[in-house]
Amino acid sequence: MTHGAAGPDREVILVAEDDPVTAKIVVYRLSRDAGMEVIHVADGEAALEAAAQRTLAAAILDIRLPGLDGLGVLARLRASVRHARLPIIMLTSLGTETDIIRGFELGADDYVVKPFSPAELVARLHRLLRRRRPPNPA
Amino acid sequence: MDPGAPIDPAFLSDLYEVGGDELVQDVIATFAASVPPRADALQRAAADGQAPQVAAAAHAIVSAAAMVGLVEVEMLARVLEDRARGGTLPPTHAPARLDRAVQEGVRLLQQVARQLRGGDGPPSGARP
Repeated sequence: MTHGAAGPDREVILVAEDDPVTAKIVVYRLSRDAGMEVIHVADGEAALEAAAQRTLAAAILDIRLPGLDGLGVLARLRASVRHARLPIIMLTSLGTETDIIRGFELGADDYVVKPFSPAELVARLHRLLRRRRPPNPA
Repeated sequence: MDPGAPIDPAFLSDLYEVGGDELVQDVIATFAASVPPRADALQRAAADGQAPQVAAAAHAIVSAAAMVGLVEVEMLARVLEDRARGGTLPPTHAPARLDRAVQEGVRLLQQVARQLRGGDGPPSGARP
């Protein structure tokens, strides 16, 4: 499901999160507060489908997704030339340090542990997006 | 937040600051619609001896409860998830206790929302 009005200058963010409460909060912050277009999916296969269909600015992936999990989605995205440098943040739960390490090994740019501050998530996302933009000419 | 309180109202307060009562009510409604069925599913899975399904349901409850500050629900579900991931089914009373905590959690979320609307400052989160 897509949230926020589409527009040529709006960055498109993929959010793969199967918990409706977390998804509601993240989607609101990104679309209403940060002015981004958000594609929300609830499983890994749908995340790959969305990534194939749209040009993404970044992706936020829950690690524990039903079916293909977030780490599987991450691995598949990083294996494609198109998404090799896509900024990706992983969402995880307390006590899952091995998942975090595995995420970095597979190419995640950052991770956020639940419960997280939605404002912090947006700030981390902005930081990654700034890094990927070409510098302004002097 | 009061030590031992079942809810940390700071989470809903943060949402209120960003999206007002509309966002808070929307999030509570989403919690009330999605989490009690998960608690029911957990009870059924435990009765059927299905540890992986117990873990999956408990994990979903942990995520949702954590994001709205329902500390007690999060803690109870996290214990069940950890045990089930190790292949251990919960004691018979534990799923029912979680289910009661979830029902009480919905009531506490609505109570905090009312306090936020009343403009009395951040709620204390004290046990009712």
